[in-house]
Amino acid sequence: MSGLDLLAVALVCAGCAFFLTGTLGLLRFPDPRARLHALTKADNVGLGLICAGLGVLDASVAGALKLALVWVLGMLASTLSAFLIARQETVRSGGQRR
Amino acid sequence: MSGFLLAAALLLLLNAVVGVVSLYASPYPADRMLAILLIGSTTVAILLLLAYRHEPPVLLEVALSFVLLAAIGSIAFVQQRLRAPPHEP
Amino acid sequence: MSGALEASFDLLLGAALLWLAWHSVAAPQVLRRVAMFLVFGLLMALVWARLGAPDLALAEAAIGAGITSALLLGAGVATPHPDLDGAATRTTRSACGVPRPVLAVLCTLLGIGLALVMYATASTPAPAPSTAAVDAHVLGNPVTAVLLDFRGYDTLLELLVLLVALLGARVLGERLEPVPATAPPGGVAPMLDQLLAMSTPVLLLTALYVLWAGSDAPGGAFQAGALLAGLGVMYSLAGRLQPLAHTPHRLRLLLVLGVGAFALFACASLLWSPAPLTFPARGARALALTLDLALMISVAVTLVLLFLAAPGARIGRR
Repeated sequence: MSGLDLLAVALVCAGCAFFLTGTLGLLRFPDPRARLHALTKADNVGLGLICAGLGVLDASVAGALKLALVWVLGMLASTLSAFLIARQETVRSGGQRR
Repeated sequence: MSGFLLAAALLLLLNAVVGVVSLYASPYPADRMLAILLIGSTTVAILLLLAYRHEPPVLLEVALSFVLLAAIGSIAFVQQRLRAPPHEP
Repeated sequence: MSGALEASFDLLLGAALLWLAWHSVAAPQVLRRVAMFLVFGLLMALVWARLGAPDLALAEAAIGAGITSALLLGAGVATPHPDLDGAATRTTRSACGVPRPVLAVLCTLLGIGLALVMYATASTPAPAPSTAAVDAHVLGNPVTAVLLDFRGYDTLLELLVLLVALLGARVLGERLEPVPATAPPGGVAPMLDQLLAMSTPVLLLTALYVLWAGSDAPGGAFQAGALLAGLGVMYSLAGRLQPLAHTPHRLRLLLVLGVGAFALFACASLLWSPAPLTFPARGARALALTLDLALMISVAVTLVLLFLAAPGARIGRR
């Protein structure tokens, strides 16, 4: 395998490790708002690393741009979803909606 | 490389399934929404990995369309439609 | 090694789907059932990807993530439902009167029968003349070639079915309730305007790309229409798409555009061929793209109106 392939494998492995850590947090944290931290942050970093690894594999500008777009949009969706769910959970458990 | 990508996809799928089963059993209702989010991000990652097993990577567009519409579920979940029967939590 | 990996991936996927399917009907709370059903839909996109059907994966992802999730999750399932969660679901007689164990046995037999039929169909290869014709077609994507050219009549009927479904939903909507307000009880969620501002150009571009790429690569009119419908659902959730109690003329035109374009094509093709719905020898790609554009617009508008449950809609704030 060439050096670039090795780099791609390393990045994808790191991405999968982040996904695993995210699920570990999901299993261990006590309530939904804490779980949201683990879910959105770890999974998005994992997605970014996987996109980076696949971009190295693809080795074309168009492919790399598309992968970057997927990652940015994924972060956008996760950010909004996490915020909305956490806000509703806060209200439901009696906290202050900010 | 193709085998490696499939192995990574398998790992992510196992990851997601364990997460969903655990979130299903939890006492908080919001965790069900978290399950959908988890499957969402993981499915995008798996689609990307599976995409690069072929040439051209056509599943890339599937991942793109999916991630574009991923926020809709959460938005609908926190805004219940007015037609729903009024239940106080 | 690769064979074992593929087998384990597919087995895990299948087992997960079965577990999800069971829990989407048998879970004690309606939110659990809905969530498991939506997760099931998302994993189905992976199944299509594994089966080598990216067009179906695209459609499943767009409709499952965009429309089905908004419909089911927005239907008041966030809070506990005494009617749907309580004793009513615990009886042994289902809603149609047949005892539940009988239904379970019947459904299992039906599932096994369908699986056997599909296995037998998949084992027999397609007849050589049809595969040769599909391969030689001017459109590179076999799915689009079949949908528009070889089985164009079926596509025309499918569009009619979609239109009739919309009319039926409209009749039902009028009988159940007048035009619903879409302002949610707690107000529209924050940050949605920014999301729309960022998503609209990307979604429009992606939908048009999927439409244009559908001639030679996976994609097509239905997938592009589903993406646009997802955009419409986002607009509706953000309070930017107001339902109307009537259907404006321009909206009616957009609704029948698909069926109309296909019908015109069917009649016009009699000019160059004895049979209707035949593609001309020259200009086939342009014609296919035009039909796909009309289809996409109709599908998108129909799906958005079905989601809104209103006869018409206009863009604008309340």
